[in-house]
Amino acid sequence: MQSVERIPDSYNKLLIQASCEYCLRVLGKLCTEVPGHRELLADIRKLISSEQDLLIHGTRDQVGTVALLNLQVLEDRFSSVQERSEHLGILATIEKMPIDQLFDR
Amino acid sequence: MRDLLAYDGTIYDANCLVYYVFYIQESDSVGNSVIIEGPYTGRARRITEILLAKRKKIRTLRVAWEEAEKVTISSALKEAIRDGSIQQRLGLKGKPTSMFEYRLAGRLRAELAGLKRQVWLLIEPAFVPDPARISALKKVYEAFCLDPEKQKLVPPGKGDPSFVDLSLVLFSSATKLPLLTNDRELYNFSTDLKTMGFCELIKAFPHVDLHGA
Repeated sequence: MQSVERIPDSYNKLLIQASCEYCLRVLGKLCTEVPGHRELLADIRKLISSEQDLLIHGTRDQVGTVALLNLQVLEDRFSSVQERSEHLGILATIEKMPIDQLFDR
Repeated sequence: MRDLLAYDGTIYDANCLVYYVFYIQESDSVGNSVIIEGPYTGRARRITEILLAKRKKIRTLRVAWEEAEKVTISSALKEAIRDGSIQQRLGLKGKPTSMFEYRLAGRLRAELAGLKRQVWLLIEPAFVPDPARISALKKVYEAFCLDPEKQKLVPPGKGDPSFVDLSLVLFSSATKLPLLTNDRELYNFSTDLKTMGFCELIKAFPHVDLHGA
């Protein structure tokens, strides 16, 4: 019943938080000797750049809330980061990670 | 339930849609498969089963569907995590990361996408409420908030109904179908809104008598 603007949680916010956290973990595990690390870093840069664009221009110029933005571009770029990271053996995609790795201990 | 069965169909709000799909399979800490179910899923499924058994259609608006995808999934998930029920089912005591919430939200979105393919669910893409009716309905709610007796029916911390809620109420009026909702600010005023011609019927999700079919 609350208007969307007042609801603190949205799928879009989760997507942004999860993608940032995932990138941090990837960067923590990445070492420059891994073949393909440059491509992975390029993917991460694109993802972060999309997040900046959407958050700065999207919220300012469009509807004013993260919840209502169309974040399909961000979702696609995040998938690309996850696939490349998995391919390089650095980190599984979130969908395939063992459940205990998704909790802070 | 009888009042809902008197109609050809029932309109679901975003909450009802998410309650229905909140049933996902996960692996617990030792790899066993467990089912994670929302607190209202059983009720939502039972109501839907009864309606479908009587060949009734379920309807909703595109804006309500989008609200379910973008907002309600996540807020329902956060609520279940906050009360600890999901962690308990999975046998994990730590703090869930946002990656965990995203994974479950993704599963719920997939379930919701599956619901979209059901032939008994009709998502109305074209209904646009009359702006004058929306304004009139907003004024009615402003009046409710100024009336000491009506004020008591507005749950604490809740503001005016959102555009999606108002659209669903007016969709009920336009289609002459009942709206099923868990929003007290809507169903508490069912009689007033019906008398004023703003809706056909607003049925409270928690008050549906599952044995009165």
